[in-house]
Amino acid sequence: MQRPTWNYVKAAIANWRVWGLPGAIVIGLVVAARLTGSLQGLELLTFDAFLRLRPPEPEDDRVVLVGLDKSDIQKVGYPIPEQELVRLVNTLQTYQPAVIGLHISPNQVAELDNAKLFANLKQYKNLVVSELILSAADQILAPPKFPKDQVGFIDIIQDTDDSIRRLVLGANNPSNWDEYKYSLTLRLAEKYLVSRDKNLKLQNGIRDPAAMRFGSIELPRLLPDSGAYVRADTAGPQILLNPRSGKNPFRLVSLDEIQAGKFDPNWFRDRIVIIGITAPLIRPIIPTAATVDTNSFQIQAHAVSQIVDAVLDGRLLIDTWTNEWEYLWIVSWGIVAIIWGRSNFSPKTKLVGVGFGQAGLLGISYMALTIGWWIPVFPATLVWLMNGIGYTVFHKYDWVLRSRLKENQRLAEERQRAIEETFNVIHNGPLQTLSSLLRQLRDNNIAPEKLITTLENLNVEIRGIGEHLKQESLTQENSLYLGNGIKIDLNLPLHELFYEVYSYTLDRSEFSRFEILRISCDFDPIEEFSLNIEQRQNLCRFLEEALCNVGKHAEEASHLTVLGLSDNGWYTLQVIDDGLGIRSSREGEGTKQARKLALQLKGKFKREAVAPKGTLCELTFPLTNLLRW
Amino acid sequence: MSESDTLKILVVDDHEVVLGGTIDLLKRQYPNAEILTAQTAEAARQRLDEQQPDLPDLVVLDLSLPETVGTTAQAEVGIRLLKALMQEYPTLNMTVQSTHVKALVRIKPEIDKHGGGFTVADKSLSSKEMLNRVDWALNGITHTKDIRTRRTLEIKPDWLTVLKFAFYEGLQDRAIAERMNVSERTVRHYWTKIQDLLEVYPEEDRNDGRNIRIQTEIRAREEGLID
Repeated sequence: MQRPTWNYVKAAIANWRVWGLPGAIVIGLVVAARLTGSLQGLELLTFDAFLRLRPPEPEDDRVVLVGLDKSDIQKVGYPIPEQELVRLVNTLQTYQPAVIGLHISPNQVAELDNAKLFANLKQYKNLVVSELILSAADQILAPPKFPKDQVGFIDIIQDTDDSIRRLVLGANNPSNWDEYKYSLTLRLAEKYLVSRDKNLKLQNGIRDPAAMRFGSIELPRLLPDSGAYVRADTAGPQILLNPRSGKNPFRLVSLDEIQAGKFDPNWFRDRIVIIGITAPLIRPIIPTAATVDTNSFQIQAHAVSQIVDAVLDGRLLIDTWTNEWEYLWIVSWGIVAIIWGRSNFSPKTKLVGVGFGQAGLLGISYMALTIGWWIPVFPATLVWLMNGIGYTVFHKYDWVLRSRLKENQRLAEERQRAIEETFNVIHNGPLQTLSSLLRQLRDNNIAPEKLITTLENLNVEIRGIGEHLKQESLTQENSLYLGNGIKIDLNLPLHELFYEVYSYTLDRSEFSRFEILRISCDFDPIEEFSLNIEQRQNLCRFLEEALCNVGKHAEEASHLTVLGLSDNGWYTLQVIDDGLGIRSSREGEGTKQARKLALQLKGKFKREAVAPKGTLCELTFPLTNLLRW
Repeated sequence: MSESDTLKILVVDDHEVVLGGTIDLLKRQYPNAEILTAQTAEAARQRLDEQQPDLPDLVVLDLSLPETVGTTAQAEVGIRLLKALMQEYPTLNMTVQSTHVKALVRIKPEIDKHGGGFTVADKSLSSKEMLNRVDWALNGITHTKDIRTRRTLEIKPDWLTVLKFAFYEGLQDRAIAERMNVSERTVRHYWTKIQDLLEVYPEEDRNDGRNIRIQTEIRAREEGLID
């Protein structure tokens, strides 16, 4: 028994190579597309869409923005005169904010002649000013007198679609590589966090030493191939922007409102105040996954808020799987899709299943994002749908093809049989007449009249063949082909049919391993002819199947009893062997067919072990019902 | 043949040429035999009816027959005729000639019940072999080897009983008949069936009946029908 099982497994594996190939190619292509970056754009858009889908969050109470809008700029002029900025900072300082960030680069500030006023702001230890450093040629550095911890760069990194998804927290100065600089985001977050709790200093990560860490919260560092990114420039470290959702993420006050005193002093106390520009001409809108429009100033707010809230409130930071897990995830969806597409469910069920699977994939991915994991949705969707639908459609097509092939083969065999039969008929009829005639002619002992009669007979015989063949083809649908290719005529009395099925089936090779099988066989005659062709066919098939089962499973059998018993209006077909019987309890296709047949005939089917050993297979059906059909 | 002077044989075949050939053959073997012919199933039935009660000793029958003159010859018609004859004349000796002897498979149960000799001769057999089969049928022997399933033994309980009485208890046919409560003729009929099953057929230079019985016993032991 082990050998066949092993062979079966080997065959299945060998088959896998054939039918698994298209699916494997689809998976391979998707993986290749992802590795080469072809899917990056679409994956990033999916990521944005998922982020926007999240429920809105309330306004952040820790970050307050003071933005110079269009009318402010018109009033004070641009670049912004430094005395206006100094006045604003001085005013805000009186309300004791925790930190103040100036999201205005030095070149946006118009200095007075002596250029001292702005530099004096360095006295406020809670103030951080901006610079631009990442482009070596166009660096705009902060006034040199500011201490390093009061300066942060405000460069942003846009993806190829101009969107902002990544934040640079620190970088080596491109024009002085030994100098390491921090971003305004990080400076503000650090100053604020230390002002809350002295232990929340910036440290190196524990899990990833190259990442940044405040207290126990590590900022997950982006790698060049993290998430959907392919060979992204992630010098830094960089983290993924997790914008605050909701219509009003931060309180925004304009310069005009500050000057007019239209604010509550408590808005600023102990807060992170970021001063910047909202005028769209100077700060154009940059696409992000935030639910409201953002410019670089507001992105700054999102970034600071993201880090501070993560450290203090445990708000989520977005992390990604390692490449291995991502590809395992994608390939798994592809393989499950192949298996599902090749399963034996109906194509409709399979397509519905593909739909549910897709919904599940989207659901899982969304849920994962809400707990901080960005997992590849788009490539998994691709392999799932392509393989799922592809295999469903192809499997059906393949099934149709195979059954057509089978039918063709059957027709070819039938044609072969027809040819053989035609030859037989000719050989046994006219050819015999002809050879006898030849012999007589050679012996010269035939009278001319006899010759004519014989030739006339020959003529009739040859014509008769055509008639005979025509009749053969007419009765085809009333015949049944047994497994070994023998055709039997279903119009015969049922018990004769049974005997024919019995005889031919026992001739099959399955029975050759029974050296001597002693058989009792008897079929009581059934004279009623009211069973339709299909029912007769099914009864014959049942008998054939029951006998084949003996050949297949009844090891060590020496006796076989095949009976058709007519008793009180019931007919019982019995096949009893004394072999070891089937060991598996699984209900085979044949058993199912037999139950169906029993139901159809309003009869009973049973298959059971008999003492001391052996198997009984029995179908009982009422003869009275036959008449009603 | 002791009664060859009064031997009566009916040959049924729709082919005039084949019919002629068969008759020639039979005439050569049984010069004194009275040979009747029929070319359709209908004619065959009629001929037999006419001969009552002095039935032919043998019917040589082609399976492929037309029902009446002018209709197409079909194996089906021959089989129907055969069934009818076996029912009506249960001890009639028959030799069935056909190109398609397998068509007989489905009436094998009826053949097994038939009390007369019954041999099957494929038309491709040599004349000598064909005459052999005719001779066996005349002697009440059954020869159905050609239409049986190959590797298996289909055996009736009665036949086993005969074997056991004969070879365990050494009983003669008459004693077996008494013990089984059947006629001696039936027991002899069982023997022909058993011998057919075990493929024990008389050789051409025929031995006496005893040797056949011993051969049967040897074969029955070989096949495990008796221990």
